[in-house]
Amino acid sequence: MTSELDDLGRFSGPATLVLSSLAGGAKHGYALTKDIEEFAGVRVGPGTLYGVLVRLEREGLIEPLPNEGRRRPYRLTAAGSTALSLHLTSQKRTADVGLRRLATS
Amino acid sequence: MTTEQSPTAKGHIDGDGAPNFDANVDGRVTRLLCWYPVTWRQRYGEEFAQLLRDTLSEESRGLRTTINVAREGLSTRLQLSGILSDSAPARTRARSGLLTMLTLAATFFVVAHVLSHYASGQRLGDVFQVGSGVSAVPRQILATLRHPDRPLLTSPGNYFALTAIALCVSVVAAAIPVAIAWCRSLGSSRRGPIVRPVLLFAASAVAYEVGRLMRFFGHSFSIRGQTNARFPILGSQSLGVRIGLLGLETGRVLADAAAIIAAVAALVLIIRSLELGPRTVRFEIAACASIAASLIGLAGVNLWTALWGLPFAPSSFFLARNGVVGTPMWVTFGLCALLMAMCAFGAIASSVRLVRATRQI
Repeated sequence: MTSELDDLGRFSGPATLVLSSLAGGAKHGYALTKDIEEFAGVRVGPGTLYGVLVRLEREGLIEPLPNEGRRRPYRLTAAGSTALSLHLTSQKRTADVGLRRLATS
Repeated sequence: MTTEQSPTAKGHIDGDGAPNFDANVDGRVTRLLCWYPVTWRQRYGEEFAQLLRDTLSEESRGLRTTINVAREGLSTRLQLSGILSDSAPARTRARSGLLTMLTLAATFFVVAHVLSHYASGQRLGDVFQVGSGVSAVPRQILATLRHPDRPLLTSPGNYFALTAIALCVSVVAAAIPVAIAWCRSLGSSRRGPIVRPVLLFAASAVAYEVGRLMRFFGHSFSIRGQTNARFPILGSQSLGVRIGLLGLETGRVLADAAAIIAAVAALVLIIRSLELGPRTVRFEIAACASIAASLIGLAGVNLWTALWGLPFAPSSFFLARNGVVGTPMWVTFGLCALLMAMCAFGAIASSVRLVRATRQI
């Protein structure tokens, strides 16, 4: 099953991280970077982060909020929540199968 | 809302009395933003600049950030200009397909021209030039008709010429739909800004080709006429043959000049489609000026060779003959053929892409 995130090509990995981070509440760019680093141990570069944000916004999976000073927070849309849920469920299924097979081998 | 996270590291002090470090960071942020196109900066510039400030203020050198921003900025430029993106408007993709096709076709000619002049067998390598490639085979056919004892395909030069012609034909075939689309969209295209660089290159190309013609119809490689002087040979031919040879050589000159002008026009349009700022446009001007200077320099070399002969001219043939830059002929042939084929395939792919985009306009 392919989700909307798979259509993002090389950005699908960082997109999952960004959407997962925004699932915990609206965040601006720097807060996203720090949160992702904290929960995934991955440092997303600013260029990559904005590449993902632009695509997710274009797909309607996230939306910008009014500026807070020079920073602009983004939040998950309903479509974004659905897409993330589908994607993570699919990944979980794959991970479960892999782990089960590893355990029995 | 979890937006409270912000950097507390060195250099990021809000309020009065900001340290000098902030000015350095601001300068770097401004430079990094230049990697992105203007339209993107208008929408995301301010917030992205703040993210860069936050990120750079806690990094000592920020090399990784610089590379990341440069890579993504260039990628964004290519996406927005329609060169990489399938989601760009059809008109944008058509324009980028046309420009890519023209650039690849021009690269085809330039690669052929440049590499052939660094071959040790310079006289054979010369047939890779587009005009020369086109004119060599009829000349060989004429020679074969006059000397039936010399079969057409015994000379390696004929194989090179046939290869060059085959590749040229593939590029021209790719260019046909492009030309149709170009004609259709000519009414709405902006032609004004392209005139000056094209005129500049046309003038330098004419200077170069005039020099080459002088060398060809004068004492081609030596003023003493010891080696390969074509003028005495030409002088011994009948009027019809002389007119024929003159036509072939003029055709070659025109083809070369057209290729150079097409290359420059496509290059300038591509640079402009990338929405570079006024600072970066200086590189465009510098690149155009240096290429024009090279052509004028080559024209000077031709003139020098025509007037004073090869031994005193910095000619590649002279250097190659003395083993300075000479490469085995098959290496040059292989490299030329490979690069030219790649350009031809790329041109065809761009052309197909353009045709698809044109249907959607």
